Amino acid sequence: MSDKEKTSGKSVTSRRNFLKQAGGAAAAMGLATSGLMMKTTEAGAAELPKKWDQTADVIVIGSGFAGLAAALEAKKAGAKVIILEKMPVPGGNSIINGGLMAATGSPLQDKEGIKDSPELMFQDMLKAGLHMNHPELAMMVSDQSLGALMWTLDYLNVDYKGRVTHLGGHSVPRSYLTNIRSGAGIVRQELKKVKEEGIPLQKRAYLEHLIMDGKNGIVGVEVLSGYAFPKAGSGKRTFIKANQAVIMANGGFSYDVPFRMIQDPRLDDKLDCTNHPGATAEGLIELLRIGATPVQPSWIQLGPWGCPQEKGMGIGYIFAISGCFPFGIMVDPKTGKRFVNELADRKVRADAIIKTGHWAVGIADTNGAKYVDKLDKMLAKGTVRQFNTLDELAQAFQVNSAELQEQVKRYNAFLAKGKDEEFGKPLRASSQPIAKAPFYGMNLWPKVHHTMGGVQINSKAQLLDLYSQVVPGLYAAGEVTGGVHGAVRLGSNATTDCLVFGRIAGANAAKERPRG
Amino acid sequence: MRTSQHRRLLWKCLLPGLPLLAALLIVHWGAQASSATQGGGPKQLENADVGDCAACHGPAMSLPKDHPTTKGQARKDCDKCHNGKKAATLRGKLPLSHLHALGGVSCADCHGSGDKSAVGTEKCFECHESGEAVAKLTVPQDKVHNNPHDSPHYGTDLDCVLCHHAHAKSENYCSQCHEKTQVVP
Ligand SMILES: Cc1cc2nc3c(=O)[nH]c(=O)nc-3n(C[C@H](O)[C@H](O)[C@H](O)COP(=O)(O)OP(=O)(O)OC[C@H]3O[C@@H](n4cnc5c(N)ncnc54)[C@H](O)[C@@H]3O)c2cc1C
Ligand code: HEC
Ligand code: HEC
Ligand code: HEC
Ligand code: HEC
Ligand code: HEC
Ligand code: HEC
Repeated sequence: MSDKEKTSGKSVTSRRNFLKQAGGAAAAMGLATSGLMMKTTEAGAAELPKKWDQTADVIVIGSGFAGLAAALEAKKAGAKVIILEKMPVPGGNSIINGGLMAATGSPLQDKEGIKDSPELMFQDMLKAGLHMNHPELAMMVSDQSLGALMWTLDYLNVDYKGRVTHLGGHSVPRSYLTNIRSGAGIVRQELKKVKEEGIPLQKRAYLEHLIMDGKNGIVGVEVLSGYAFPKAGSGKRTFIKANQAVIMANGGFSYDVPFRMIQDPRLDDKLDCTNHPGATAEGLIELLRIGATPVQPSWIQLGPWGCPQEKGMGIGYIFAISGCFPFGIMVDPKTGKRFVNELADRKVRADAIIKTGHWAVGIADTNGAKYVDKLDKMLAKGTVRQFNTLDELAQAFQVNSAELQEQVKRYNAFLAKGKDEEFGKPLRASSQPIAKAPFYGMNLWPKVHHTMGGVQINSKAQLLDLYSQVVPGLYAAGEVTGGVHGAVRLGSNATTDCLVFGRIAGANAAKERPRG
Repeated sequence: MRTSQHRRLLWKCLLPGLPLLAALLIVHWGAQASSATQGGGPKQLENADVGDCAACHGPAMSLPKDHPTTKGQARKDCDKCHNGKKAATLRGKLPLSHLHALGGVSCADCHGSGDKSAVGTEKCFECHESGEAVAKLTVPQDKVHNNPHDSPHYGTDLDCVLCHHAHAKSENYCSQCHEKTQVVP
């Protein structure tokens, strides 16, 4: 038997053990990529190694916005830094993200005469977050948002579009959008700097354990190098010593079906996920194992704009957010009727769709569809379909046609009155009745998108344990942390959060007193 | 199991929802990948004529039963019937090592002489120039496909072997998140 076979055999055994312990329900879950399944050693087994294979001052886990920003700041402060990334490609969720970043008092806002302030952004965050945000963390993000944006402009030379975007829940337009409409516009520039600075970025390096040494705190990491995602236990066990600190920038856990189901049992494998497949919980679990404090891990955001015929984020969401929701309607095919305000917050809408128990149907006419970027590509892919009449659309999506036509009539009457008497959707003065052929339809089913919760940090990005004590030598930043966003994250605030706290973590880690 | 199905399943199991199948396939895949290079399966006879399938595969059929003989043939001979990118393509049906061998590229051209070790992207560039160069070869001809060699995320920087495996089934990394992706040779 080859080594490869041996290790994969082992992973099956641990999977079986898990099934035994967790019972039948677990068998229905996507165990293959769960953080719960990744452990090949017993909890608590991370002991000081006899010999370290490698040494650095600061070890960064994860190569998204937060990890790369941390590495660059730590390096700037003089530390010898290495970055470890478990996937064969860098960038995590950051490199596939939509490219939106919020900041207050930005050059583009000045240019357009938009009045904004950190205080206003802070209030927006609290309102959306149901005041569950940790205020000192949320305030840090809003205060430092401009600094982080300017860093991407002046230091990273990121290209942005020439206008700020106004996203739901923000009081004013304040979101920058990269020219290529992707977070890659920022991450690729960070990667370029990392290379220029000579910071080693080891891919296929999987953090298995943080190594703790009494009151010295975290002194190093146990890593599987040459790890072949998602093969549990693959790669070679390596011990790397951290003279100053370890920074956990390992992202969220939206892709981890078993772990997310523990937090919110509704989030089973019937829900697709917009994230990269490496967004699993093992790093978070390791932090909890060494005593980190969990903050609101069950607040997991679903995107109500997902198209079930597409994988992941896809492009159909653009039809939903710029055509169907503002200018059209979303109906339950069974009743042919609307069931929620199509412009409510992400949580309200996603919960409402799930409650119907089946895919919703999003509808827009030609007037609504003209605002949809990439409609051509959606039609070619079959994500969005085009019909001459509402009746044809109803037949194709198996919607009760008579009821649908009645619903559209009622909705058009609300438009005429300027008031949605059914669900209180804010109607734009410019909206026209849904009447102009061709008509467009798309299925909708929420997708797991963002984990607001995570571990507790203080405003220096230091990790706090269950007794609110700082764990020496350990920092965390980005989606793995909790508290910044509270119950609901506003669009474009994650990028800012990750860059702000990534930079803070990097700068502070490099100030730690070196341990012998 | 037909290999194309196999690949589709492999990617499916990266999505949540097919756990047991995933567990089985991952083991199967690991086993397949290692038998490719570690005996048990077909032999790596370096000097065999690539058209002489049986030389390495033994009597076990590596071709459909009534397939015309391939002995002494090269890629251009195959392409009389297995034309380029079309339905009957050999892409995805033969390992990349075979496609190279049929095109006159030997083991040593990739591995050098002596012990074989994994081959990195720089080696591919000795003959394929650069990421930008291969991206020019694969500009999509329709609206639904993306260029696998040039994405907004990774530019032209990806390692070739992320998708192109020399001795195992190739896979399309983009398929994890995008439907409508091309077969990887
Ligand atoms: C499709 C999509 C679109 C989005 N659009 C926007 C947007 O427009 N604006 C916005 O503000 N937010 C957006 N978000 C949210 C935002 O992108 C993420 O919250 C953010 O990228 C998280 O950054 P991060 O650095 O914390 O983690 P990531 O970028 O996910 O990086 C974490 C890295 O750590 C690695 N890792 C994990 N565990 C381990 C381990 N055990 N060992 C080694 N490495 C490990 C991962 O592989 C990953 O590469 C979007 C998210 C998605 C999925
Ligand atoms: C005279 C025409 C012809 C030539 C020349 C030819 N083939 Fe084929 N090949 C076929 C046909 C017909 C099939 C069956 C196609 C099918 O089942 O879809 C086939 C099938 C195959 C298959 C199985 C494909 C699958 O779908 O699994 C392989 C592999 C193959 N050929 C390899 C080769 C190679 C390598 C060469 C050149 C050395 C070659 N063939 C030359 C006609 C040819
Ligand atoms: C197109 C370049 C190429 C050709 C031609 C090629 N190989 Fe490989 N080979 C690779 C790559 C790349 C790897 C690494 C595994 C992978 O990604 O598929 C590899 C891996 C191997 C390994 C395992 C090495 C290790 O340590 O993992 C062996 C053995 C091997 N090849 C033998 C051969 C033989 C024998 C031939 C000729 C029949 C051959 N190769 C032809 C590219 C090539
Ligand atoms: C010694 C030169 C050489 C090296 C090294 C080399 N290739 Fe090639 N490759 C070729 C040639 C020549 C062809 C064209 C073969 C043909 O047309 O039959 C080719 C064809 C290909 C094709 C298209 C196959 C098809 O039939 O569609 C791919 C994909 C490819 N190479 C990938 C790679 C990768 C990946 C590597 C590195 C692991 C690599 N090559 C290394 C010479 C090379
Ligand atoms: C993300 C997956 C992926 C990566 C990474 C990748 N390729 Fe490809 N490659 C493909 C796919 C898919 C095709 C087939 C494209 C098509 O059918 O149009 C292809 C086709 C090719 C071809 C044949 C082009 C032709 O003439 O049709 C060559 C040569 C090639 N790749 C070389 C490379 C080299 C060299 C690298 C590394 C720089 C590389 N590829 C990296 C997926 C990839
Ligand atoms: C030089 C020895 C050699 C020759 C000649 C050879 N093969 Fe292979 N073949 C291998 C090896 C070894 C593997 C395992 C993968 C690898 O290392 O490339 C393999 C793998 C395969 C695979 C994929 C694995 C599988 O079984 O599904 C197919 C299909 C295949 N060969 C078909 C053929 C055909 C068709 C021919 C004749 C045109 C042929 N081979 C000639 C050595 C050879
Ligand atoms: C981990 C998931 C993931 C992987 C892997 C991935 N993508 Fe994407 N891709 C996305 C997401 C999410 C978007 C964002 C959609 C948007 O905002 O427009 C996107 C957008 C795109 C777009 C622009 C939108 C469009 O469809 O026109 C292109 C082109 C693209 N990806 C190509 C690729 C290619 C090529 C690969 C493989 C090299 C790849 N992607 C791999 C997730 C991924």
